[in-house]
This record gives sequence, structure tokens and C-alpha cells, in this order.
Amino acid sequence: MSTDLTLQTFEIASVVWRESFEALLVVGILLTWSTRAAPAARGRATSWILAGAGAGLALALMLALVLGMTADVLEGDGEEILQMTMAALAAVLMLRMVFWMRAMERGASGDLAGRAVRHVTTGNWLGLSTLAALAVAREGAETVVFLFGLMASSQGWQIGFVVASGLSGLVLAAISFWAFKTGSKLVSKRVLSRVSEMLLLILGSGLTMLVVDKAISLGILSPMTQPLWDSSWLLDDGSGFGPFLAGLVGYRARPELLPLLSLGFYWLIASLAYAPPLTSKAPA
Amino acid sequence: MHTVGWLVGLLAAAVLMTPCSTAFAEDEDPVFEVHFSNGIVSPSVIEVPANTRFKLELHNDGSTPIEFESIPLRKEKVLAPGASSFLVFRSLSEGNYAFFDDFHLDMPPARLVAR
Repeated sequence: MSTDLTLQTFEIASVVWRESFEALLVVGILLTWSTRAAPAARGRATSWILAGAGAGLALALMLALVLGMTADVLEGDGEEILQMTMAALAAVLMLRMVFWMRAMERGASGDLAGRAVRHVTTGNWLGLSTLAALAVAREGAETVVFLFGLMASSQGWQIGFVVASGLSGLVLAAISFWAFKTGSKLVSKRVLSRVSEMLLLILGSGLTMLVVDKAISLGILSPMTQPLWDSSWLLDDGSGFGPFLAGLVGYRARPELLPLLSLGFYWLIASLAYAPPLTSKAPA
Repeated sequence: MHTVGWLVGLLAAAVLMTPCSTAFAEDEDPVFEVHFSNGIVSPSVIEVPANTRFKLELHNDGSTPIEFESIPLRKEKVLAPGASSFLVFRSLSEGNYAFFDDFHLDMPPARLVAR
């Protein structure tokens, strides 16, 4: 095996890992948290989340097919409108999920399992399922186009090579997921909840910035001002590690007023989840 | 397939109902072309008018998929090998915007210069 091939394997695997990272993180948090917080409803929680992830995968395949055929509906603005809608829905569901987690935690004094089951209405399960589906579909479509594009352009044994590289990316993602799950067993339930909530909120802020960007790009909203500052000398959102961070947490090197206000508004709402219980107990 | 088309159509209709200029002058926008080939972007510097509507036509001439991505430009687009598509820019303030091929990160980024 030449160094060139090794490099290519690494590249394909890293793209697949990068694209599926957010989806796996979300699905991982939901699975880990719900099986620990609601042991009595473990089976139901798992099947709802997995069903959601499966639906997300199917949606990703459909989207990839539409993208691949360059159908008119997704030319130009169509795709941006779809991305904006999916991101907005996912961000709202993430906030809702954190509020739900906080509500269950707050009632943790007595029998948690009983409360969990009582809390668990169909609406919540559907929300859980939809969140998993959106997380998978959003990044999944790009991964599918990437892998199928590579496969279509290679011949013979190279196809197998692409498939193998893609699989190793998935295995890497699965290992990251497994590490998260195993790590979560070592920490207390309280810490696990905090970390899960923070990760969801951070991903939600990245999605919020994406929604605002799409709305500005589509001409629905105005950025209100010129960029207020330029921190690209410190961390550029246009190259290197910057774009990855920008997509995940919503970092912008040259933010205008509207994106800043939106981010502030998002975190204001997010902080409401933490407002009341501060009086009852000091954090561990 | 039909469901997706229907869904997207519905979303598009919902957005179009909000006042915006999408419907007008669709074909009169200036068009600029960018070609991608396995990570190589040509031209690597594209001059575009500032504060005007224009179209950027993307062509993937290479044998591998590409992803046009730019946080400062607020755009991303995946193209399979051989595929073409376009992006609509509504109003770009003067400046220098980097974009790159997210599936070929080892290659240098290209730039869009708005004047």
C-alpha cells in the first residue's frame, strides 16, 4: 500500500468522521442520558431514538438523491431554505430537550424512575425521535453524496477501497460514541446531565447562528450593521480549525449586530432553564 | 421523492410569501463561474460587484465530490463529480471573502473579492 493510498484512506475516513460527528454526538447524548435518567423506560427511549436515527438516515438518502440529480427544487435557494428550516427545528428541539432534562433533574429528590415515566408523554418521545432524525439527516446527506460521488468515479478494486475507508470513518465515529458512553458510566449522574445539557446547548448555538446566516443570505433578514470587529487574526472562521468550530458552536470572526443579538437571545432563553433551582441547591 | 419535492415546494412558497426580491430579475443577474477539479479551484480569485445581486455558478469538473464552503459568505454546497449548480448572492459588502473545498482541505482556499 503506497503512502498515497494511506493518505486517501485517512482523508475519506476523516471526512466521514467529521460529517457524522455532530449527529453521533446528539444521538449519543440522547441515548446515554435517557437510559440513565429513566431506567424504567429504557427500552422505549432507545427504540424511539433509534427509530428517529433510522428515519434520519432515510431522509439523508433521499436528500442526497435530490442533490445528486440537481433537481430544480434544490437549485439555488431551495437547498438553503431546507437547511435553514431543519437547523431551526433542531435548535428548538435541543432547547426543549434541555428544559425537559432540567425538569426531570429538579424532581430527582424522590423516585426518579417513576417521575421519568410520568414525564414521558408521547410528545416528548416524538421530540426525542425527531431530534435524532434531524441530527442524522442534516449531516448525513453530505456524507452520502461524498461517498457515492467517490464510488461513482472509481473503478474495480478502488470502489472497495472507498467503501472500506468510509467504513473506517464510521468505526472511528462509533469509537468516539463508545468512549462517550463508557466515560459517562464513570461520572456521576449529575455531572453527566450537566455535560449533556451543555453539549446540546452549544450545538444549539451553532445551529442558531446557521439559521441566522441562512436568513441573512436569503435576504429575509438584514445583518443590521457592518461587522463590529474582526478576530480573524486570532482564529479565522474561513480556514483551518475555524470552520469546524464555527459550525459546531457558532463562532464568527466578523459578526454583525444581528448575529450577536440572536446569539445573546438564544443564551438568554437557555439560561432560563437554570434560573429557578439555583436557590435550592449549590452545584456539586 | 415526491414527498421531498412537495415539502420543499411548500417551504419555498412559505418563504416567498414574505416580501423579498427573489421573484424579480431572476435571469438578469450577472453570473460568475467557478470550476472545481479534485480540490483545485479556478479561478482562485473571483472579482464580483459589491452590494448587487449576482449568481455564482459552480462546476465540479473533477473525479471526486467537492463541497463549496464559506462561513464569511454564509454558503455551503455539495457537488458530486460532474455536477453543476449555482448560489445566489444578494448583497455582499465590499471585502475579501475566503471560501474552500471542504472535501479537499489540503488545498489552499480561494477568494471572492467584492468591490
